Amino acid sequence: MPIFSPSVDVTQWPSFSISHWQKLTGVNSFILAGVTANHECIPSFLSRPDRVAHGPRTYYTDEAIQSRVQIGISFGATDAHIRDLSACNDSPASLAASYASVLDAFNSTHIDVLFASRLSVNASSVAMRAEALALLQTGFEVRRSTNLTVTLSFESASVTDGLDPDAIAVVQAVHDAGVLVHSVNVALKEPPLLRMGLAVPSNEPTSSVRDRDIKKRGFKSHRVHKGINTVNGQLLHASNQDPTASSAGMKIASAVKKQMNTFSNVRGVMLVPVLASKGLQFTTADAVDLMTWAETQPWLSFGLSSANADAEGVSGTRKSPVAAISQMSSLIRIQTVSILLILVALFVPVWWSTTQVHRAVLPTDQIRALAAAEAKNVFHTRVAVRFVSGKGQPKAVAESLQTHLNNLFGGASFHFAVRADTSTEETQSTSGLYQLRIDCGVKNIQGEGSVKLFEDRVVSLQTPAECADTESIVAQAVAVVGGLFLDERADFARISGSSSHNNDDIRKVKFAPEYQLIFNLMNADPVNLLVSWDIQAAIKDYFQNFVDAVEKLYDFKIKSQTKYFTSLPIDPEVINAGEDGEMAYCLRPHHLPHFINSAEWSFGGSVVSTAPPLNFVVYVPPHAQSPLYIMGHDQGFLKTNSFLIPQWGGISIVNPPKMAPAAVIHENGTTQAIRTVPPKWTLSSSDLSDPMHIFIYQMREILGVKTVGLGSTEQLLPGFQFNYESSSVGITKWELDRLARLTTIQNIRNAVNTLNSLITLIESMEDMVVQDHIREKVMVSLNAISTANAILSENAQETQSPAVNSSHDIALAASRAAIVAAERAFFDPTMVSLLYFPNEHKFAVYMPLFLPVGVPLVGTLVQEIKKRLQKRREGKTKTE
Amino acid sequence: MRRLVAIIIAAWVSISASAAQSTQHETLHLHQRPSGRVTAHFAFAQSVAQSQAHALDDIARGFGIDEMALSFTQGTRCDSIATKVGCRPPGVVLWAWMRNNHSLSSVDTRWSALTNALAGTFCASLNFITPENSAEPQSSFTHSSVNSSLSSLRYASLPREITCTENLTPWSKLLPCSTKVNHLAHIKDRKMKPYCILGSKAGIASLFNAYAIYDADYHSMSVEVSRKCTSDTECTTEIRQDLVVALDPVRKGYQRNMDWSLQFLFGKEVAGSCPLNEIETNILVTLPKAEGFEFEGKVKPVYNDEKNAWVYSLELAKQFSMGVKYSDSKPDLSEKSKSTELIQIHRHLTGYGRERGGIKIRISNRDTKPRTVTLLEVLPWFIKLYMHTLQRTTYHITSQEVLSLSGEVVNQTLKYQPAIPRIRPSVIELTATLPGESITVFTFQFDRAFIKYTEHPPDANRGFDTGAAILTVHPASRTEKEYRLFSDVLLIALPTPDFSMPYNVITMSCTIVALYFGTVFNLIVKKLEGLDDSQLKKKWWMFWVKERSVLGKK
Repeated sequence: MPIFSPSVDVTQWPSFSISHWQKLTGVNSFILAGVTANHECIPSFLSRPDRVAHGPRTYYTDEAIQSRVQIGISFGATDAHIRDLSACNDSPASLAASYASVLDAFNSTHIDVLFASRLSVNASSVAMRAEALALLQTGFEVRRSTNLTVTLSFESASVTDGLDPDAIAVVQAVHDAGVLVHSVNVALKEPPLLRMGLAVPSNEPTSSVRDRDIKKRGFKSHRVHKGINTVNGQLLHASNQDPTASSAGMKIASAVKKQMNTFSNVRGVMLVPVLASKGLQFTTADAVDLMTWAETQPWLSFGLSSANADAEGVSGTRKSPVAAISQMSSLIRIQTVSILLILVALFVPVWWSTTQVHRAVLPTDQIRALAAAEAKNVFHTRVAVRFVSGKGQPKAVAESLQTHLNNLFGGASFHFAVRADTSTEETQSTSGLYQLRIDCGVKNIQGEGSVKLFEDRVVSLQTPAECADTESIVAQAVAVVGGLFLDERADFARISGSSSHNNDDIRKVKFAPEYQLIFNLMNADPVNLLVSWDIQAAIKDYFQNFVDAVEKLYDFKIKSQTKYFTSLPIDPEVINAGEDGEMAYCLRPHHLPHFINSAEWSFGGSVVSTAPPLNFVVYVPPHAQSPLYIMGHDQGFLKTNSFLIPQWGGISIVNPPKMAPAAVIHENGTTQAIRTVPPKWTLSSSDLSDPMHIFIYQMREILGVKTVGLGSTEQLLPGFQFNYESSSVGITKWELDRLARLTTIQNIRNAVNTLNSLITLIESMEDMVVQDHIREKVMVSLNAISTANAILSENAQETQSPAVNSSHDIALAASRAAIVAAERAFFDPTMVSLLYFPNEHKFAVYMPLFLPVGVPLVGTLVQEIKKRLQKRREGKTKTE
Repeated sequence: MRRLVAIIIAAWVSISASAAQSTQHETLHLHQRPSGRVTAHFAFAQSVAQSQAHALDDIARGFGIDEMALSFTQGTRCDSIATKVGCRPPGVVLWAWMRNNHSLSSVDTRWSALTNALAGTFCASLNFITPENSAEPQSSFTHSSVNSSLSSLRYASLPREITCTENLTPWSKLLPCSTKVNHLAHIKDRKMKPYCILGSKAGIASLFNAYAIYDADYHSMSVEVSRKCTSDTECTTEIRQDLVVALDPVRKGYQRNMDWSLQFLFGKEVAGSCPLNEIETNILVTLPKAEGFEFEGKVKPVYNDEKNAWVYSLELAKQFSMGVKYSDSKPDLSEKSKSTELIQIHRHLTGYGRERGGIKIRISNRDTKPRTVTLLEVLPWFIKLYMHTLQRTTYHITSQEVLSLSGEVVNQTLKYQPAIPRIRPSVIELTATLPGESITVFTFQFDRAFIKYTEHPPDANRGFDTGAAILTVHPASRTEKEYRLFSDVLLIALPTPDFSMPYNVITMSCTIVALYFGTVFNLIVKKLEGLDDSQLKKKWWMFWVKERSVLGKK
């Protein structure tokens, strides 16, 4: 049974670990090489005084005992400079004692004696060693009651024909001394120490490498250690070998065996291939061939062993070398792969967690579904029918009116619940609850009826029809009530339909829950006239009621300011106007877009609040430009002398009274002051009446208030008189309700669109951080949208009780909450922040990694493809 | 100056009592020193009533501010006698008293909102004021009008902030009389519209010329806002704006003499008084000499003993110009170094290298009386102070003898807030009594911290500016008022890393990983097989290889 048993160069640096190699290769016996005499004649490894080979604690003893391996000791020098132990001992007995002391220190039962060819082997020293071996072997059995395995190692420069005569002489001497030799080890190439498993790829004998040299040549020595790694690999993967090596090895082995046949006490031969030196070297196939062959030869071992039963006991090996080598390489592979896997398992989570971007999960599907779905919002509207005269059949009229109205609208936008109101008390008017007063059998002068739209959600119908004539009353009532709401249905269809813009909508400012209302008095020429105004009173008198009326839609913060030296950036035209041929200045429509000099006039929008500002300007032109008028397209002055800037505000020009200038410019260019203090002109509340009413009108336009009329009814009921009650506050309840409904629908739509844009944005930017509070806002908005949609769904139950908050108001509040939350989420400052490293940066940083890693990968891939192609080609040729 | 302020305040009070309208007042004081340097101090005061819209009033109301002062300064050659509002340190200094209970949010939240709002209003990088460089001084900015139990004080400075036209423009727009007109539109037909020539702007603000102001040796513009409420609803906001410019006609002119005129200094003339002023607009001129000069211009000034200045009154809609011509116009340049300030503060760095450092603050008191002062030092967290090294030494001002201080004279209290890295600065507030005619030196040592790679500014090796120390001089008697002095700004160099290092490390480690990868990959994947000599053929590209070595020895 051939075994694999490496011989260890003890002096190599970094030092060799027996236990490691035992674990790695499964080899159970090692030979510690090179015990020679140091300068004090003490046995030590390669004569090094620090590596004493005997004594209580010698080098490697602990490790050898701990790892429970068999230790063999190789004696003998490889170099002439190093003294063999025989040179220090004058008798075979003392030499045997020296040998024994080392063997005992390692509890070893295997002695190897090296006869290097380069060592001048003189006959007396050989004889001495032979006798010492004989003494040792016999004494050993007595002393340790076990057999001592003796092997002789030779290295020869030319062993192709067997051992050289010197070696034969040595074997002869040992044989003569009566030593039982378990095997003769033949190093197939020198140096002898470099045996299988421990080959040092150098011609230089390791023994000559002195301590300082090792240190000096640290790198090389290190490579030696690595060499151990690769020698085994080399056996498998060695390239560039002599293909005849295996047969040469067999030849040598056979030749040596033949030579040994003359020696009766030599049991076997062992081949020790020396690798990586020039000449005889082995390929995988060769080595395996040789080992396989060695296994069939009972006298031959491979590596270091004996074929006989004794040697087996000495080495105690369990594995065949082929198995050991192949197992070892697969072990390395498994180790490497598992280390890689561990690294990946460790670092991928770390990398993942450190580069991860926090992205709160948003209800994307829900939003997408809302955006895709066609909005079908229905306002549940109640109509109370009351007969003023008390005659008539309110119930029948109500039932019939409800059916007709709902048929007219077909379930879109409005759903009517009509009931008869027989109570005499006035019901409190809320949005979504309207009263139809019918006065039947009343004719006007023309003999027809009349319709009057009251400000407070009441429409009255005076009809010439008899009170009993329910049918015609209902027909007229449908025309009246339907006419009030039909325009609105068209508005809703436009909003939820597509983005076709109406010209009216251009003026309308974007919805916000709060606006800053800033009233500006622009005094262009304070030198000549100091204008002040009683704006607080004016707002109280004219504006406050309007603001209060639209309170449920918007909050307003009202401020005022006076600005001076606000001259126009445009030159008004000079024209002669008036009876006495006075000069007047006029602005044409094409001037007006340039009227506002916003770079120079600070309009006082707050830096604290984010509410959008609406500006209303009372412009007092300078003395030199007054009176200033606006000329319309029809070449006439506008009576209002004011204009509206869409989505921004309104401007009203108030011309100052005529006054003499404060300074006169003489013809020589000098100025002469006439006054030291400018005259003052205060605009009282009544002076401001006109501008304020204009501002209310402009405000209506900007907020998108639409008039509620009976335009379509007028055509349906010819001859009827139509009257409208005007509002004292600037907006009727009908208009307010219409504005609220429109705002509700628009807000829901805009909130859905904003949320949709938000998720589109988030999805398109993967490095964008999405914080949890964004998600909260989105959820608030979504909840509000669904609340509003639930109220405005077709199936919603309308409570009949005239609640304080009607469903219209609740829907408005919900829609307002929805748009506010959606906008807050969209315009949140944290939504701007991106990850510090975008993908482009990452690639730039990782390029030094990707490129060198990629090259071997791509190379292997190419090779693999080539191999495949070649195989396929070969397969084809074979089949052919 | 204090008297002047008192007059202005008195004027405010009288006006605001009569009507709830906004009022305003402005004064220009030109002060020339023997060296020829002219310090122009433009003072504007406004009072904004409750219903009026004003950007600063809006800020004060919105953030619950009782009192606030903001200054933008550049240059150090400030003449402390001529400026009167005091010499301010370079950069931005902001402090505000804010109401503790406010509907909006906490004081700290409002403080950061305030800095952002001011940053927007003045186009300055005030948003760099963070809790990291904001302090809460205890005894440095005390003010009688603010109840310190109801309000909290925040103070911060940005010594590196550079002020320029972009700050001046919004600043001047806060003045009621300075809305500019488009000149170009009116110049072509000058005769048609006389008013345009008259008042492109009115008032002393019409002298503002960015070229002249930013060519000055020192300029400082400031805003002081204080809010006074008579009742819960009736509040007025008083806004004081000051612009101090130190101009040097000696440097500016070719003649190297002291003569100057408004046209020469500012390149402009005053376009009449602002019509909104309730009281007369005055231009005060203080000259270094009592005689030997004459005033140019049509209007001649009147000497006012009380104000120690020549006084001009501006008229409505009347161009105003003036100048001074000396009979002996040679400047007394030796005067420049002299300073007559009673209390002075100087600060400089000690230590060496980029690790250990120290600060030495030298306060001299020329007054014969002992004075109590409070020193406020706000240092960024990366200056790691060692408070045990704080030492005080007091010398006599002329004999340089070390004075031994008895307990009553010392009267020293120390408030110290240690820094928390990246959260708050270290704040030292030291109240001490300076003996008469003495020099007191405070020293302490610090370590310079290693700060993170990303915390360095783009120009890292320039160093970090630290704001000026503030010396509050407490009044010695009832008639006096508390005032503040600012020390020099320090430039502290911190240890700077090699900024390319992270990238080197990344590329290096990537390369190493890649090399290992290649080895391991080859070991796993590649199977080495021997080639027969017969397989070894010299390829066409192996031109440098000898035929023999490829095919082996035969």
